[in-house]
Amino acid sequence: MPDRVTFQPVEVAVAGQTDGRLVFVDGKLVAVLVKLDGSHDDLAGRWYAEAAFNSLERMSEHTFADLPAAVEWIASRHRAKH
Amino acid sequence: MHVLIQKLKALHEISDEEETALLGALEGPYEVERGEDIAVDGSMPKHSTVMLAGVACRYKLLADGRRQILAFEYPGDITDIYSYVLKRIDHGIGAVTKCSTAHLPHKAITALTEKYPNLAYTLWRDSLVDTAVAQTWLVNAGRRSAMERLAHMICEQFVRLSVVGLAKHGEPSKFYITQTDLADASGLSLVHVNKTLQLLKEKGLIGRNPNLLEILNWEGLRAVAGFDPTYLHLKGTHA
Repeated sequence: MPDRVTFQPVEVAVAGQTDGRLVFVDGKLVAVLVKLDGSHDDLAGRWYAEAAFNSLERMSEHTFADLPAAVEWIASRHRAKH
Repeated sequence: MHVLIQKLKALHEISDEEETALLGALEGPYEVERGEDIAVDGSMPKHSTVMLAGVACRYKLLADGRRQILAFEYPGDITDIYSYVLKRIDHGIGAVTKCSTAHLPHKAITALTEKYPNLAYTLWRDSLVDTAVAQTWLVNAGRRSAMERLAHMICEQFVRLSVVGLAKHGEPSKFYITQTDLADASGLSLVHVNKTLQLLKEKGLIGRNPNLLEILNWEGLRAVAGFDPTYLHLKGTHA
C-alpha cells in the first residue's frame, strides 16, 4: 500500500460550486473533487469527482460524504488493481 | 386517431383499409409498471409491442449492473418490430414510466404484410428510423458535449411527442424522464446531468419544474443542441 493520498484546496470554475480539492496519490494528480452546492438537493455537501484519471475514471459515478470516504474509495480501487 | 396510426402516418401514407386491418390485429391493452420489463433481454416473444401510453426505453445491462439506455420509446412507437424478423431480443425494453401497451402478434404481421405491401413498407421505414435514431445517439455520445447532448435529447423527445399530439410549443408536457434515466441515456453521471440541466435552465431554455418537459426557447435549445430533425424522416420535413 504505497498510496499516500493528499489534498490541495483549489477553486474550480464550474457552475454553482467552486470549493474544490486537487487529489494526489504519491504526489501525482489523480482527480479534481468539488463540493456540491444546494442545487443538488439530497447530494448537497457531498464531494464529486469533476475529473478523475486512469484507474479512477469511474469515480464520477459516485459521490462521497467527506474526504476520508473519497480516500477509502481510491484505496479500494488500488486494492482491486493489485 | 389511434396513436399507432398517428405515428405511422407521420412516416408514410397508409389507407383506411390498412389502418383498420392493423388496428384489428392489436391485442391488449396491457399495463406495465415503471421499472418492469416490456420485453426481456434474450427472450423470443411471439409479438411486437406497441406503446399506447407512457415512456419506455431500450437498454443494455453490463454484468455489474451499469445500464446504458439505447433509445426512449414514446406512444405510437413499436418497441421491437425487429423481433418479428430477428426472433431473439438482444436488449431489454423497460418501462421508464407506467406504460400501457398493445401486442401485435408476429403471425398477424405476416398476414398483414403479405396482404398489404404498403404496410410492410411503412413498418420497414419505421424500423429504419429506429436505426437512424440509434446513429444519431451514437454521434451524441461520441462527439457532443454534455450540454449539447442533453439539449439534443430534449429536442428529440419534444419532436417525437409532437408527432402523436402529446407535446405542443408553449405547453409543458406531462411526460417525465428522471435524471437517473437521462444519465443512463446520455452516458453522463447523475451529478453532471443535474448540473447541465441547471445550466439549460439558467439560460432560459427549459423550465425549472423538474417534473415537466417545458421548453421555453425552442430555437435557442435547437441551436445549443445542433438539432436537425431530418433523421426522424417525418413527412413534410423531406420526401
